[in-house]
Amino acid sequence: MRDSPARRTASLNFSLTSEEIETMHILKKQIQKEDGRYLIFYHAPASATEAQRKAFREIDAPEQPVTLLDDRNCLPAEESHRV
Amino acid sequence: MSELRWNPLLEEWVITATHRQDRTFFPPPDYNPLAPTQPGGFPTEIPSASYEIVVFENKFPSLRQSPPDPAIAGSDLTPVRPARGICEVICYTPDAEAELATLPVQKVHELIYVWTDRFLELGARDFVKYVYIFENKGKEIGVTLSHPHGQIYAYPFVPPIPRRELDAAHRYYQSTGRDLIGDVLQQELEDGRRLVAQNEAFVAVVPFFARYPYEVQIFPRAVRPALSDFNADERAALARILKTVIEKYNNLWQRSLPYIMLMHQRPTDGTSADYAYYRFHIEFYPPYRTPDKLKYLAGSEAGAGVFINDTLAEVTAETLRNTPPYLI
Repeated sequence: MRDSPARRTASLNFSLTSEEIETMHILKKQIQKEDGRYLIFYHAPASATEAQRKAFREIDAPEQPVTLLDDRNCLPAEESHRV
Repeated sequence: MSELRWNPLLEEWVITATHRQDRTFFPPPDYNPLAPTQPGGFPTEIPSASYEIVVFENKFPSLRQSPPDPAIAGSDLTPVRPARGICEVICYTPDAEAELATLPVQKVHELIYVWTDRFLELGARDFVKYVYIFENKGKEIGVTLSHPHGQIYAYPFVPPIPRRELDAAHRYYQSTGRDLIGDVLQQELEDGRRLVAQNEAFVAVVPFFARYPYEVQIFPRAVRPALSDFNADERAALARILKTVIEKYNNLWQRSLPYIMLMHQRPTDGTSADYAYYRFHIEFYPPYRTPDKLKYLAGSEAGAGVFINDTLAEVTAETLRNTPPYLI
């Protein structure tokens, strides 16, 4: 059996700060490829490198925010019980 | 040729997709169709010199938004339908050498937002009944492109396995008034022997009924039928526990562990209130049962649907629990 390349990972920082959570903000741009298929670029301004920010800016398509209905609770409160 | 063919014996659809025979198969190292397109370089799937996360329609899809008419006539017994749906590829990072386990937790957090956005957008299409998010990782699973990526299938029907889970949960709710996954989770927490990791919003276990030796399922503590039901804190908690489980897998035998990762959640033919008896959850199926032995799906599994697990969930859970990183 061939081993996959060793990719042992050190235990990275697993913390996400309150600020990172509260300011989480994703943008997207959708284009149409030459063969008609769609492609969507997702962009996280807070963590993107300069090259990624530049690449996203240069995509010729309208920028849209990713909205996840964060405040909408589709479940009645009494059914949201936790274990 | 591409169509849905009905199997009346199992009461399920089979997708034929003959064009997939020619899909990209272990391209040479210097040709990575999922890498960014570099100036002067060959054109890849992504027409940009850099990206963070991209999603695009699969070039060799099993389902299409505008499928051809079936090339074969069906019958009342074995009807056929156009293979209508959507198949997407999601590239996690432009780094071809990375994988979910090596990405910073912030990137996994961003990925959860992208998965949720796809669930909402695809689920809003009237012909889509189920959005299935999954990742095949490793040659042992059949992966032919090693660049870190997952897939999303938007089916025009609820697939058989989620259907069984949903029906079981519904029957349980009707007879007990409680949600089945919540009771399974409660039992695991009270027992404790099969816990792998947990945080304020999620619990990862090798389930009592695990079919694969190192199978892990991640359950939310609250009733959340879909990705879209999580709040911001829960999405962050999901990123942390997901990263924990995947890193444990890689640390288990000091190598990148192949797996199938999949998400089961409510269908998209209603709202979460319609499915308040069910919970979103993630399942992992790593194929190895020892460092050098694969668990094969042979006669009993493939033909009878009865899995034989050569290990005990309590033992493999303890091993994973004692493998870094630790979140308990």
